[in-house]
Amino acid sequence: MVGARCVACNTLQFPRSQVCVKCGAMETQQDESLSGLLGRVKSYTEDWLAYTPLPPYIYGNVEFADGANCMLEFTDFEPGQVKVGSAVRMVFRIKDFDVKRHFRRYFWKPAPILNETR
Amino acid sequence: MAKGIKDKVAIIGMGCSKFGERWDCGPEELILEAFKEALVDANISREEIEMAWLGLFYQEQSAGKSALPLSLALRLPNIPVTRVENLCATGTEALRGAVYAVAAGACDIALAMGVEKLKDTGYGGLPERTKGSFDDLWLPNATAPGAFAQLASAYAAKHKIDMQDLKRAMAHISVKSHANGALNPKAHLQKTITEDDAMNAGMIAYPLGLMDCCGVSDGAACAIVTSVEKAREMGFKDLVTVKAMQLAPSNGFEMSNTGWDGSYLHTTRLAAKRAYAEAGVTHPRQEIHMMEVHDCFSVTELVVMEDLGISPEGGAIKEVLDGVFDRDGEVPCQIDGGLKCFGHPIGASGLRMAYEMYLQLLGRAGPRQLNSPSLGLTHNLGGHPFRNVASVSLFGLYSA
Repeated sequence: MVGARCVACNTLQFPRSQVCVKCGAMETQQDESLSGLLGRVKSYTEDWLAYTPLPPYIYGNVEFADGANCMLEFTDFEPGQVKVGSAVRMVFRIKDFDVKRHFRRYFWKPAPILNETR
Repeated sequence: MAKGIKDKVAIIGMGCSKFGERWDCGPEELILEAFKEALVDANISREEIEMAWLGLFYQEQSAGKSALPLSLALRLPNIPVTRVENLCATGTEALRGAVYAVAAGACDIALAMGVEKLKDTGYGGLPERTKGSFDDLWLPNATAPGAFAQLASAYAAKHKIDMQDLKRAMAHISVKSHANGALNPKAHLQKTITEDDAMNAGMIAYPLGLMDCCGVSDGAACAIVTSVEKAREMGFKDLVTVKAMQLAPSNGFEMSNTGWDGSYLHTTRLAAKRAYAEAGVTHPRQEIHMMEVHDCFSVTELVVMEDLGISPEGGAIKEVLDGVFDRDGEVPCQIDGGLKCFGHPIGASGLRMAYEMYLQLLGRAGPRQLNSPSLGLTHNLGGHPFRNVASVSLFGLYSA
């Protein structure tokens, strides 16, 4: 879950890009991992139209403690459990399954903090 | 020093097809339906059109890329035709091209046509599209309702609003749009709905229910434009002119970092400010008489009232429920029924909005006619709240 930090203005961002989103400096970003950071849910939905093996498909915008931001598919939340402001930690899970080539693809997903009550 | 587009270009003819499930039509039939109306309205022949812009988003499968679909459909006399696309602002972008060509003096008369045949897919909702090879690896497989539903949770949290109150305001918006669309023979949906219908409708993506979502439809709309001087020469008396056309695409601000709180449309705010400056509007709430905004989802219309600077921050719910945007309210919104009743044939919507503003300004909106409007706003939002293209345009009566 590698984002980047601009060395010119110190802004952490995702994804890494050639131009800093904050200060506009070019080619100044260095890789920085987000997977160990805690996050906070900024917005979410529980989508009954989107395809998922286990409806509803729960996803939303997550702000990381150090300043980066990402829209991601959530995991381990029961329907009705996510709220704006929920604290999340990143876990590495199956993102999709390629039925033609039989690949499992993995990516990071926000999950509830373990000691939150359900 | 450039002064913008205000009062340089007049719309002398417009046409709009019936929107809906047009199983019996291909894009060519829809194009012709809108075109015939516009030709009669402008009182010109097809040969007098010198350049054309075609707005077409998804239906590259049926209509095809490039100038060819429009040139072939209308047997245009090999005039320059440019196909444009800017997500849901595609129709407006086609108009913008035609308007700029005429304002630049590159030609006298230009056509802008927007068309989309979305019902041929055979399923509900929009077709999948790739977001670019890297984005598909990490972004969720979001639907349009799910992406816009994000606005609702963020807005409710930010302004500390109970979700049932937000849902009630969203329901009012859909009820209002259906009441307007019921007066419009060109709309896809022409029946009224009740607040209960909206509140109790099946959940699509929390908190958006079925009645909070616009439908998928087929349709076409077009405009014929010329310079104000040429329009006078041609004998037009009451002129509808373009007062502003502004566009603002996302640049990553909303998503890359924590600068955005998810509860408003950043690009709409920028496009609106620029459009007001271009048109010389200093008090939008007082000066704008009517609006057609991008009600792909009811919650989008709600936040756009604040993004356009019409409602104060956090004030949209109260104003919606007070009827400020109803047909008999202070600033009627979606007077033709909006995307809610027309559906959203993507290439056509921007021009369909301009069509209603045009009819209203000329006093030709029949049972939907407002009392002497002289300035109308159209707004498109293509993409998702967190990454999109916003357009804001203003149309009004020409005053020398």
